Amino acid sequence: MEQKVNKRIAKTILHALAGGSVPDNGLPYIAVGRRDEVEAITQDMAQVAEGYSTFRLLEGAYGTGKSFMAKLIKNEALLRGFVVMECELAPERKLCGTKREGLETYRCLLSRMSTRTSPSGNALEEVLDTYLSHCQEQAEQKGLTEVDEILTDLQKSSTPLRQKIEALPHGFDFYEIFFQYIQGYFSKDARKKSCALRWMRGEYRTRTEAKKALGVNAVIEDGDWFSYIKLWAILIKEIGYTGLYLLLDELTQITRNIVHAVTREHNFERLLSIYNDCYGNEARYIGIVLCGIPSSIHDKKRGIFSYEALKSRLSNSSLQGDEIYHAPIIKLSMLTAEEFLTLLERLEDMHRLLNERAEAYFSEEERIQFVNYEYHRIAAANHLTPREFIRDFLTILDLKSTVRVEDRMEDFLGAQKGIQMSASMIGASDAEEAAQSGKYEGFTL
Amino acid sequence: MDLQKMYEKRLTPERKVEAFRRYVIKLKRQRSLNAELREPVDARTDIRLFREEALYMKGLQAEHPKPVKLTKIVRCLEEMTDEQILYYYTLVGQFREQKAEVEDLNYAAYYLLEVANLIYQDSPLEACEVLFSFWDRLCEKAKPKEKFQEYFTMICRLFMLSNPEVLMPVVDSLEKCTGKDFSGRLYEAIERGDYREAARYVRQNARLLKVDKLCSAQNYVTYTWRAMPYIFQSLEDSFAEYDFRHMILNGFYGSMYLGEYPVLYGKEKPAKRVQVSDYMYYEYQDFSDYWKFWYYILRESAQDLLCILYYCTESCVRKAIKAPNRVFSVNKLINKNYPIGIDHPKNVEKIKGMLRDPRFQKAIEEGVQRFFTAEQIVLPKKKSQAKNVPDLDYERVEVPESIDPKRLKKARSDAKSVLGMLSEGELNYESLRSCEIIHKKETEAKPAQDEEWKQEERQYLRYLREGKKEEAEHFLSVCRIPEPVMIKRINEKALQLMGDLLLEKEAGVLKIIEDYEADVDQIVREEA
Repeated sequence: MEQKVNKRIAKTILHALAGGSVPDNGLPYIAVGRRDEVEAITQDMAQVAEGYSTFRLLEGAYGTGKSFMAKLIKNEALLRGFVVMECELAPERKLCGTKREGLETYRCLLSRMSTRTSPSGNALEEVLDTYLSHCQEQAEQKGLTEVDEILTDLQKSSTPLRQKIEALPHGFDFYEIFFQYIQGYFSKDARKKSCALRWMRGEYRTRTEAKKALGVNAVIEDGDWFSYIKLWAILIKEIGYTGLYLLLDELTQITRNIVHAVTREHNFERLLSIYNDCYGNEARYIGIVLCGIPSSIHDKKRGIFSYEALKSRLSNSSLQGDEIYHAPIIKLSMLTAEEFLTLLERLEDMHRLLNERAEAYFSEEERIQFVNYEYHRIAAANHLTPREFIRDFLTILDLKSTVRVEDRMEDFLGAQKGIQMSASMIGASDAEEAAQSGKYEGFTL
Repeated sequence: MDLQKMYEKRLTPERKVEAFRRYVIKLKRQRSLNAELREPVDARTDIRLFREEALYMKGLQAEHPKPVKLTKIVRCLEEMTDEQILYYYTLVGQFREQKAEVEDLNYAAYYLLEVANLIYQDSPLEACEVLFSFWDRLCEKAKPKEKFQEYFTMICRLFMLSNPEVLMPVVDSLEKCTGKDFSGRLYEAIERGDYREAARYVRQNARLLKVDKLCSAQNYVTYTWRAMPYIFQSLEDSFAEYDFRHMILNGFYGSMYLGEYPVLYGKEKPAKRVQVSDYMYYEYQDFSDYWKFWYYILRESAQDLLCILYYCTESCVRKAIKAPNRVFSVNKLINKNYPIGIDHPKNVEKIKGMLRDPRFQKAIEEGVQRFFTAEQIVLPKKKSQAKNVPDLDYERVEVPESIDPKRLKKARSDAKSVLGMLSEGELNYESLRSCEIIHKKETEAKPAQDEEWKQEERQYLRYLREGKKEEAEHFLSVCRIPEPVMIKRINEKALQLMGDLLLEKEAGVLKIIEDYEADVDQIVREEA
């Protein structure tokens, strides 16, 4: 069975990579060259689990693997028992805006809430029901069967949770709605449950509407959605999860893409208050990760650093060097040739596993030859992304395992239409010989 | 046209006023040409016809208790409603005492017209005094808008036309209160080659330019006006055959209605004047073919040409002081003002032709340069050529010289340690490398009780495997377990025992992951 599991992961990985996208699981197997980053993130997770909050910015040029890292963080967080909420910022989803863009972000986060057992999102109901089912079991153990008895008991036993929630802004309303959900759950009142869920997901537009449905004269609004996220973090922690992780991608949507300076500044102010909440211990059990391209941070006119208060907080210390544990910004750089080579080795191993093949497809020299070839080909266009790199290699592996079993690497590379084999593309051993004889230079080991 | 008949025909007020204006212009033209004039009495009679209604109303003891708004300037009583007329004559009493409020400006405008038509005064000289003192009083309260100032000038012109004896005092007063040339002083100055005055003339007459532009405090606007004399000098130097001085002078003529514009002509040498159109003359003089060409353009387009000179100069100044470019190019402006097939396409073509002449642009550039040098204006330094700034969002790829074995070793060990750091690393990567098939050892201890499948979980899986959704739902309600909780339990157990999820929801439909169907069968069989 275990072999099958591995095979499935390998299959998922190779299938997704061949299509140019990041696989949903099995990411650690292809996480090369990201040791420091992973270490920093795991450190963060440990801190969040202890009750602190963290704030990280993943900065990377196109193709450096921001989405990969975000997914890696998500999977790891799920495995560690966190609830993960993710959202890609967009013109209609910002941190705040005149057309309730902030609230849209909140809704997106709630709808894409995931847990280990529901990694694809929509886990809100599952999270709450699991807790309540557990409560039900406990009540049954105590011999309580009537709904009223169970609710009275639950009210007593959940006093610490209620106190913690009510200590925060909007906590009274939030707990009130949560309790209405509990009532709906135990009394099997589906309507009440769904109204409470709707409220919690920020889908009531007016107070009148909310009051009519639930008797609460409050709704989640554009200006206070992060307060509710803080409440969610407390609730999630108290009902048995490790904490809450927020992943916000496409930071550029609230920086460069906002043309109007005032709107941009409002978003920066919101970001600043989120940052301050994280480090001022206002927010607990929350890990926030934002992903963005360098210009969304460093652009002098529209980047985050154009807002002095954020710049001074987020700038990495000059004494820090390469160490990234405490730097708020984690800069992702492009994989080196050696790291690419390591990645190729892993991909080849997975391919072999999938095809149940004992011997290697290519020798190390041949893989070096491929790396060299890709560097020369793609570097000409200035931008090298692992996506193209991997896809090419997987194509070669597929061909090698099926129709061109006897071919060597140079046969594959030479067959590329319109590409001439340069001297440097010839195998490493040949290159070494040639280098000694002064003929040409290429990648050598 | 006989004004009497026209009046009787009851034309619309606008047409009546326009016909009257043309009629007066015609009279003036005939007078200027020393043609046979009708008796001045004729003209006065016609004017009296126009005044008829006003004089009638003057006699009424009109009074209106409430203010009535007048939203536009009117040219005769017929354009007002009865209420407005009554209110106007209520106000007239105040106006005559030089009292006017800003909100009554449109009524005041009509009052000016009546003053000019001698409704309240006996002699033109008295009217002249009232006209200007009332205007000064208005200007004291708030500076009237440009449009209103033009209106006042127009009234003064009409006044001069109908009463030639007040021409001199009116021209003097007009020059004093508007600062513009009404006596032809600029004309004489330009003829003398005074380019500063020529520039002033252009500024006054470049009517296509917006007022705010003329008054703008922007450096490029100020510099453009100040550079104009240098531009004329430069154009005259570069285009000797074009005779720009006369071009401007003829523009001076070509751009105005002579009938409306009282110019003092030299008395010593009576100039020969040539009629160009009903309302237009030019002073005959010797000129080359070029001049004819220019005259042709100027006759119709002198204003536009001056505007173009302004725009070309402004473009040059903007470039020199590094101000942002104008939104429209000069060509676009011309095309906008003269769509193809409308107005005078030939003239437009000629103006465009001149713009295409490389000497023209060069002359303007030289003029601007001369201006900056003469006025010692410090220009911003030329920026050093912008470096090719790398795009932050793309990482530049540099081809490494070789694969470093040490770095390769580190990359491998790092990748391995990442697996150790992450929870998923529980799955042994080494097993992948060696392709060993890891089976559960038989000797391995049996999983703890809580790691085994529970009865209800097996049952639920069985229903799902058999596609019995209703039974599955019923089963859950009997067990009092919500569906999400059951899914979570099963998936958690699967993660523990198999390392992966068993169930997933696709588009809201719950299903067993295909790869594990056989495993589910086995779990269900174990139940049996």
